[in-house]
Amino acid sequence: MSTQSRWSTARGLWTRTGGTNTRSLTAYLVPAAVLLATAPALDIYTKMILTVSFIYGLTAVSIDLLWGYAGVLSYAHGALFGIGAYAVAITATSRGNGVLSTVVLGGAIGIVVACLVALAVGGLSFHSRADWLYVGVVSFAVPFIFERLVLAGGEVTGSSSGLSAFMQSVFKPNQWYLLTGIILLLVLSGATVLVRSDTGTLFKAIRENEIRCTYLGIRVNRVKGVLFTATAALTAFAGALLASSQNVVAPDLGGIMAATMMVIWVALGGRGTLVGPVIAAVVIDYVTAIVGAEFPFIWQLGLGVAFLLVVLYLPGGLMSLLRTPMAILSRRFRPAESDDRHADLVIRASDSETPPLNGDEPPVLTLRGVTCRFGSFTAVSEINLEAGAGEVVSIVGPNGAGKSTLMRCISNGTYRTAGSVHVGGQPIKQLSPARVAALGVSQKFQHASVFGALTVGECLRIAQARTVRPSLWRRDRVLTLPRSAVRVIEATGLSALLSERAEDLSHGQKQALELAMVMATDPKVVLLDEPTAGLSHEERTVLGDVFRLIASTEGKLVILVEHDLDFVREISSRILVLHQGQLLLDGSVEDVANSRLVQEIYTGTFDEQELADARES
Amino acid sequence: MNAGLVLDGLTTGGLFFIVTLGLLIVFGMMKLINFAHGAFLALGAYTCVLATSHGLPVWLPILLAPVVTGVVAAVVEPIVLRRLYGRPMDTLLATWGLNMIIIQLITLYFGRGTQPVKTVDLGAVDVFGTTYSLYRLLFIPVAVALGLSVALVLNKTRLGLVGRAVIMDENLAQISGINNTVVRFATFVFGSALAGLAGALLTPIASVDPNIGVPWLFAAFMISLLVGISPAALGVACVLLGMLQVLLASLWDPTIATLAVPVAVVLILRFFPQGFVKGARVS
Amino acid sequence: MSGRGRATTLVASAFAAVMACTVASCSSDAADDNSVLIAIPVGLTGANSVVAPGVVQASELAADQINADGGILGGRQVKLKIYDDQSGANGALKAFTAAVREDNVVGIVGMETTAARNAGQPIAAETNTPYVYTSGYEGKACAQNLFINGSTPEQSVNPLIAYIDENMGAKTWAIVASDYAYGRDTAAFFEQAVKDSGGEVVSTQFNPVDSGDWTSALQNIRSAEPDVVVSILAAGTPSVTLSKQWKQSGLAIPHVNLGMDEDTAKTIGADAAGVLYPSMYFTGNDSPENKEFMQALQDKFGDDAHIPNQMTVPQYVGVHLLAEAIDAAGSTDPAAVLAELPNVAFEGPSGPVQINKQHHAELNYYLGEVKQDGTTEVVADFGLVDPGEQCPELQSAP
Repeated sequence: MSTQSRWSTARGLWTRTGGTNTRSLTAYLVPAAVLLATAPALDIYTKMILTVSFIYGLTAVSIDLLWGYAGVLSYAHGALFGIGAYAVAITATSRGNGVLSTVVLGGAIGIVVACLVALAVGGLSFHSRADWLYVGVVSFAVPFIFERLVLAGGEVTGSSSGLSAFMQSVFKPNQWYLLTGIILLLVLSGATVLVRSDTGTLFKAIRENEIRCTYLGIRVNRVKGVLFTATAALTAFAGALLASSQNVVAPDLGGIMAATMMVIWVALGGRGTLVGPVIAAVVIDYVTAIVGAEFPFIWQLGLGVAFLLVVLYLPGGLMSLLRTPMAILSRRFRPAESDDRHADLVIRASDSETPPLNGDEPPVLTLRGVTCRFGSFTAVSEINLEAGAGEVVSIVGPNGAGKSTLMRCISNGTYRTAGSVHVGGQPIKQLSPARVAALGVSQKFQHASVFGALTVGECLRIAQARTVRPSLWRRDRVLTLPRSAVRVIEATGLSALLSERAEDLSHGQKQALELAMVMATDPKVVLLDEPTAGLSHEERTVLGDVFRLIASTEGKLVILVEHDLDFVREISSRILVLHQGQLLLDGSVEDVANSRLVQEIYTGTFDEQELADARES
Repeated sequence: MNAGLVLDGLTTGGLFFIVTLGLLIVFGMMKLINFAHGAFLALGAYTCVLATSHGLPVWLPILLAPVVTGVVAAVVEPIVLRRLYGRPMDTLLATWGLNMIIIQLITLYFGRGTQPVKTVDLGAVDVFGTTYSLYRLLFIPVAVALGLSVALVLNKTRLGLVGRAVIMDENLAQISGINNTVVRFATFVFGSALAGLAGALLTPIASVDPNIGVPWLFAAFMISLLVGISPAALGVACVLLGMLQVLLASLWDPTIATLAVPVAVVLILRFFPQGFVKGARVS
Repeated sequence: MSGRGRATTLVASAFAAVMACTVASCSSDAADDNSVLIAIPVGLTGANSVVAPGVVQASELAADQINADGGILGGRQVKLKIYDDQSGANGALKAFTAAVREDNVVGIVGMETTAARNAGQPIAAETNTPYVYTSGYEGKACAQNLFINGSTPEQSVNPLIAYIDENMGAKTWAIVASDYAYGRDTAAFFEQAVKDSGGEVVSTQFNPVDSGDWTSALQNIRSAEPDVVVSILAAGTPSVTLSKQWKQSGLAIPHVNLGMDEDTAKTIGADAAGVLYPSMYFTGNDSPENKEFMQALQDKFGDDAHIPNQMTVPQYVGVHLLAEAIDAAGSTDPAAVLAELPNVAFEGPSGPVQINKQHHAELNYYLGEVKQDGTTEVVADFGLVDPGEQCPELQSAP
């Protein structure tokens, strides 16, 4: 490659990756300069207190990343902080010398142990049967157990007295102050880069709508586990800094009170803003140190009241108070600015061709004896079905017939009670929705299930997350989506709405967006649960055409549950009639439309014996 | 010696039960972990302090404590909890904030130290070949009585029927004409009153200071996660965990014993997310 | 840079600048040009917070008396500065840093936990700042600048064992202790001392420091059937919970509680009746010094006066001793003051005190018994008790 083209490639990369994220890095240069400039003006005592406050700022970043962005509330990080601190203290005490190499060794041990604990806690918490309450409780148990273990640790951990005087002076207080301040700013920049990247968008998507993520094939538990462990490492690192700089550790460093304070800082500062929690942590810790001796109870009372008020009335915390002044400031600097995050987002259709069908392949979808029972109630019973590419299969039946349940049995391997489901010849066994999605199944839900706080462009990017890994540091400016998805986007006018937040869309636009997201995963089987519910006649016509095209041109198997029988008649190639969980009729549009039995079922005038006879056939 | 250990386990279980019952009712009915439970425990204990320092006979505060706590809960529920309905995580945080506030108010007024309180002096009796504290023995019948009353109310009265309907399906209950707001209010008040009663019962064996609720809280949360709303299941769980804790403390190490409850619960819930009772927890 | 990005930067920088200015303008108290500043680190918050107000009062009373008497070093006033050590290492670090490095105090007189002392002492040692430690503790803390008028286990334990041997004929002992440095070390010391006196320790149990549950401990005591039970507990709450549960359990064994104090006994009331405890000070002491001291306390603080006890009185004595040492040295130079500390003596409410035994002091010890109404009656006087060989490598004064 010539120098010229290398340079232009580099420039192209820079432009593509530049924008917000290099700005994120430089945004913190000014506060860094302020930190350095004001340092000489402060006295030692204040610097020592601020060193600790800065270190706690690091923990605020961890908690906010996990809670504010990914929606995982963790008390465990209090203990992880304590683990980092005690690792350094114990290592220094046992080696008898607190020099830099010991600190590094202790810190490394602390980080490793913290990560192991995080993996264990993650393993317990992040699995499909755990609800948020269980996660909270498990994480609540960790600091409790930490405190108990430290208290029982005798001479090794210093028990209730803690450990102290284990360090030889590695840095002077002045240096610690600057070091921790710079580290805090570096970590803040890094975290900002992360949250503004596509991975940050993924976290937000998980927080917004975890189920939607799962059905898009995203291994949500794995993402949470990784983030949990990464923040554990950061928090343990902060703990190691604390022990090294303060030369003292005590059990309450990692106990429940400490863990609670971390959560309170983030809540007060403003979840999901990074800067807010850091400011809150630094300010509150500093003030607590100063005021703590004079009026500790009033201060704690004030914090409690502030916390309660924030929870009740101001969930956005401090930063939401600043939003208005910030908006005014933004407009002053660039009056005509629009949100430039998506100004240059481009959607492209992928070039890949759908391989032509030659008739030898196994049917795209096979159901045998699929049954779904809830306790004594049978929702779906003994359904057999074979369907292939290019078909548009509609499932109809009165309410309670089991249509949505049947659909769920296809997209979620754990849902059914008996029978088997094969996708493209592969059995889905008991696979979770994410794994079934990887086999080529994608479901659109009845109530438009999208990511409200994300823009349309971001929703589409996340829809692709399984096949195109989100970057840890940049946003993709170009989305290459399957043709079918692009078709949906263009046909429904979404292409003009890429910068709109999903929650601001009309109902019809949301349905279209979800459909586009579903198609973005390039599935073999497209499950649509009442896709036209609440749409106008126009919108219905547009979508109907799209469904037909998806099936015929892109070779997908489209299965939809519908109530609008006219719509069904127009677009379907095949209709399944369900009644009380059983498959009554499986035939062409004419067969079903002309069936007297079907009419009777819908009007409720059927005869049980005829029904039974029909099932026999 | 063995009889003493067994009695220790049973009475500890009884005490767990008394402390946890209020928390359980609130959790089962409102799907809410009430972090302010410890503060209500403290309120009950401090009611005894005030009452006995004004010369009231010793048994009266035990009846007064739940009333006082119930009143406080009645004031707090509409102001703090009602507007957070449907936001479970925020409700959890709000009750934590409430806990902080109540405890700090108590500390501001009374101070951090232990408060003197006149208590019953029942001495010890000879049972099963060993001498045992009569007061501790009373935990068992008190726990049984409370449990039976709650179970009776739940299963045999109309009030209980309404309550069980709300537990099973709140929306359906509302459509059927049940006033959910009133039910939730009554539940919170009742559960908190039980906490106040527990606090009062603690005063003869615990130091009455602002942190009186703390040692019990953690175990209470963990246990209530295990058992949904069944008082019977709670009874079983409390006895088992009480025995476990006592055996570990006596035969091994008291610190390890305090770990027994949380670790056991976390592990049990991992493999049986529904806890002890089928259908008890609705996720 | 985008408008939004710039706005963020502006806000963040403004915040940093405001913080810096606010913080820089917070100046610490400057000592009066002429006064002699003495630091009083104490647990205003944390485990010691219950006794802290009494400690502060005792210190202030001492300073007042010294100043009323004409001050030291030719009329200079003694000024005290109270620092919160949060009853632990973390707080002590901040407190001692502020006292020694910021405020350049002439000396430190502290009633603190071992954890706090361990964290703070190295800072004081850096500048050889005289540190008078006034709390009873587990012994063997030694440093050039550290002088201790708090009691050692030799003083609280040895005469006690002798008394119980003689008067109660006890052969078997059970020990119940709080699980922390003081508890463990003192329990070990006790076990050895009992063995040396011919007795047997049949049960030793440790309970977590913050535990209020003595069920298992009491059960084990009941089955061990000792002649006497000794409890070695952290101050305050553990004594309360143990006494109450002991009462409910109906155990009839003599109970000696090393962690008891008059105030706590009063609070517990009848539940603590019969408990014995040794102390180097009781309010009932008949000496004229004690009567004057209690009157002075009443005069100065009125209704707010805290009942003095073995934690507050040594503090009072310590301030007097340090002031006298500075006066005797004729300057605030650390080395000079440290040289005088073993030589000065003070006749206080607890008897005569001189820190001249390897940086520790002989103390008069007594045994008290709690009555039905919670007050304590002195039942034995052990006389002046030697602190034992605490720091053999340090000089003793004659």
